[in-house]
Amino acid sequence: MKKSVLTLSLILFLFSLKIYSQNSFGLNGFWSMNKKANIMSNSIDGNPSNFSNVKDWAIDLSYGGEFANTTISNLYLLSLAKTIDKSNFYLRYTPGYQKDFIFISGQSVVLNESSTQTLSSKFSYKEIFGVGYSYQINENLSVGFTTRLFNQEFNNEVIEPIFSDSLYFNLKTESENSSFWKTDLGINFTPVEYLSLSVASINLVDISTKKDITSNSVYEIKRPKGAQFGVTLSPYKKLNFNFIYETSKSFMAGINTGLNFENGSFNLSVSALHDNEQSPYITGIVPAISYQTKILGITLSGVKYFRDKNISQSFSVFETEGINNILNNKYSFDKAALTISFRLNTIAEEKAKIINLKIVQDIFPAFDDNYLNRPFAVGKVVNQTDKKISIKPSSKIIGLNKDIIYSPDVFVNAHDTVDIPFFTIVPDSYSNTKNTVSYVDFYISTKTDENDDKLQKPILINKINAWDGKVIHLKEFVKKDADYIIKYAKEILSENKSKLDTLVYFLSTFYKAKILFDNLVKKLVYVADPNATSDYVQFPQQTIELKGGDCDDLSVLYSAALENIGIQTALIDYKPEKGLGHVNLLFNTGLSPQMAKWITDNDSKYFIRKNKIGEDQVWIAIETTSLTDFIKAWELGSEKFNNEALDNFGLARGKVEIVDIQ
Amino acid sequence: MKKLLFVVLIMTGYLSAQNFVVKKVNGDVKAQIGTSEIWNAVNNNTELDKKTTIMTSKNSDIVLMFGNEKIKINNLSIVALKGIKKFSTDELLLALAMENLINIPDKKDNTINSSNTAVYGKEINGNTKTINDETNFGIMRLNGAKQLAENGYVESAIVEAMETYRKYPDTKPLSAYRIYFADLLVSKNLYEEALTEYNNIVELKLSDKEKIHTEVQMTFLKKKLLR
Repeated sequence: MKKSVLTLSLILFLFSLKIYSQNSFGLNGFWSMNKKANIMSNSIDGNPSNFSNVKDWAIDLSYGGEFANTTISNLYLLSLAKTIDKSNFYLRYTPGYQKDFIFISGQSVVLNESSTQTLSSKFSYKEIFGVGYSYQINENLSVGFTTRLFNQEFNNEVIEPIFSDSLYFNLKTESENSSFWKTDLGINFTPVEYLSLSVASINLVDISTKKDITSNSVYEIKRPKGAQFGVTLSPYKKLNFNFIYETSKSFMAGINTGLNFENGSFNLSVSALHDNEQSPYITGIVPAISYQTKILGITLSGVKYFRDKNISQSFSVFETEGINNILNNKYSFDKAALTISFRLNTIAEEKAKIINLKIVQDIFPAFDDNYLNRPFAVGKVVNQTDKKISIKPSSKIIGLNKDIIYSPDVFVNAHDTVDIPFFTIVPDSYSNTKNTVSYVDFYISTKTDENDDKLQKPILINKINAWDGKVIHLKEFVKKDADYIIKYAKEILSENKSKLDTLVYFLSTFYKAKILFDNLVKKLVYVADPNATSDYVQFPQQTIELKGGDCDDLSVLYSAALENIGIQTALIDYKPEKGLGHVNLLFNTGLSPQMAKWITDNDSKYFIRKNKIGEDQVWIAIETTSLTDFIKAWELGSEKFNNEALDNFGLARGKVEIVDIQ
Repeated sequence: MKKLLFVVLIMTGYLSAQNFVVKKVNGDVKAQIGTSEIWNAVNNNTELDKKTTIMTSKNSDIVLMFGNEKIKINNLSIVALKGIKKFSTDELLLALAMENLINIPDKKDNTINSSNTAVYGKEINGNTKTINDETNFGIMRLNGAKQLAENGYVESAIVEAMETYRKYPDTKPLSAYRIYFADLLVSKNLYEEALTEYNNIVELKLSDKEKIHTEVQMTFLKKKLLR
């Protein structure tokens, strides 16, 4: 046999299903190499970088047949893929990745008068298994490698003469075989959403692990080194154009499209291939149709060659050219395959993603109500699905929240990006004496028990008495220590019960306010903020216990005392041109304008404010830092308010602001 | 030119800082300074600072000098001297806007609740006649505001009137005063504000003459605002 064999009839017994004319595409379709693709085979045949869109576990099973003279079907691939964080691991067993050639030589052995034995050779090429690994460096970039184990076996029948008493011939099979590992590297890059690029090696590393071949080495699989370059262009969401070019001058071009249903998607793909080793120029097409759900995928695909089905080839050609690819070569037939894919996602599908997050206000523990009404952070969140979804934002500030705090749900249209507010709750029991830098864990979820995305950001938690200088936030200090202040105020008023009892009812509010102020001034002194800053405010109880404070502290205390006995107050924010501002307060006497003359003969000492139902009521301004007596504080408060708020248009120009406590 | 401008600026500063000098007092004229509760008698040739409020009784008046300017306050009037100053129209608008800014926010009902339905307007004949009621500070303030207008301080007069309506709601039904000050708004081309005021006036009990005047003014204002 061997080289002396002149003519060979070539019969192919091929069990392969997934076929590759070059190194670059799969029988179950050439789908876009894009994470957002509706379907992407996790096969590594045309994907040397092991680029994967598998979210957790994936099991693929392919079964199919070849339309040769005798149609033979077989299980040809079983694969398992697992993604852990940014890494994807791939393992496959390929019992059907095999191509056998049987060559009938012209030599025959006459066994007896009536029968002869024709000598033959059988060449078997197999791919046994493969592994792959890829790592997603960032959203745009992924790198990886694949390595595959091949085996080649060459069996030649020969006649061996045996010399003994008589000469006879023995028919025996001479076998040679070898194994080798083929390893390739690749990179996938997605610079923009609608464009994906890839580059990978072909036969980069080729290591023989077993080589017991001498005379058949010429028939080994040809493994020329090269590279492949791929591009996927997605001008529309459901339309992808794909192209791969190999340095062997082979290429493949394909188009994918799809239609989404409520529980799945229906996808079509067709690709044309040009193999430099085969003819005609467009060697064949690879159509594929697939239905995919979250868990199960079924893909029916095939390859149709345009060349003549009756293959007759001189052995010398085979001897010269050999084959480059087990599954797709010039001796391959049309094929069909059914691939069933299972996706076992124990990880929640990321329907929504946080693309940006901004802390809009640091935490001032005293402003507890503020964080229920105003978000402390705003996240820019994108809906990655084709459907309108409800996103539940939540957060946990380490060191502040014991539990996760849920913010209101937000509906987001398909593929839309919205700003989502995060609110929080400061526990009543929370207290800290120093500013602290902590961290917030932000979560968004579309289900109640699983998070789609999470992000951590640093946040400043200020000390309990910290204030941001905004008078509107002094309201939060006024509301503190309510029990203590109610008791304190009631004690003072009860001491003056006899005086209050002699008053007409409508004057009681005014005189209660007067009695409280006159009592407070006896115990308090004005102390300018020692640091000349506006970042610290005492709670009402602290001011009483410390026997003094600055304008913020005294206004907070007096406002708290009045509010807690049912007298409406408002803080007056005198905003500075530069440096520190000033705060005092207004309170509602409960008198109508007609009754103002009961408390004063000077109409510049009161101001008319409409209440929430449009009634005019008499309010008076009190300068809380004037700790002489109520009358003096009233005069000073009135003068300041008249001068700065009214006569100089401070209210209209925004230099003076009234901040109602309720 | 620069020199002239400098002189003007100096003079303005001088005028704004200077006090009022009482030139002539007839009858019972009192003054209240700042936040004081006491009204003191005013004598000739005394100086009054701008925190002072002047009150003239029946058959009394006072002549003040403010720089070279002579101001006469007639009887039954209350005038805060801080109101004797020139406003720009922008400042007048700011002053009018302050009424809303001082109120409690989020009010659900903007209707004015005036429990007092006393009508003083019957005694008014024309736009200049005043009410002689020395017990009603509100009316005396409106009289004072009118005299500010008559002395050329129209913007101040409007602000004083609005403030008086708030502090002395009994004056709100005084249709003759309301019409007088609404017409001042028209004279300053503040048509929207004037129409708002006339919309309130038309709800009052008006004489036939006042009704006709109000209708004419409202038609005029609507035409102006529609342009």
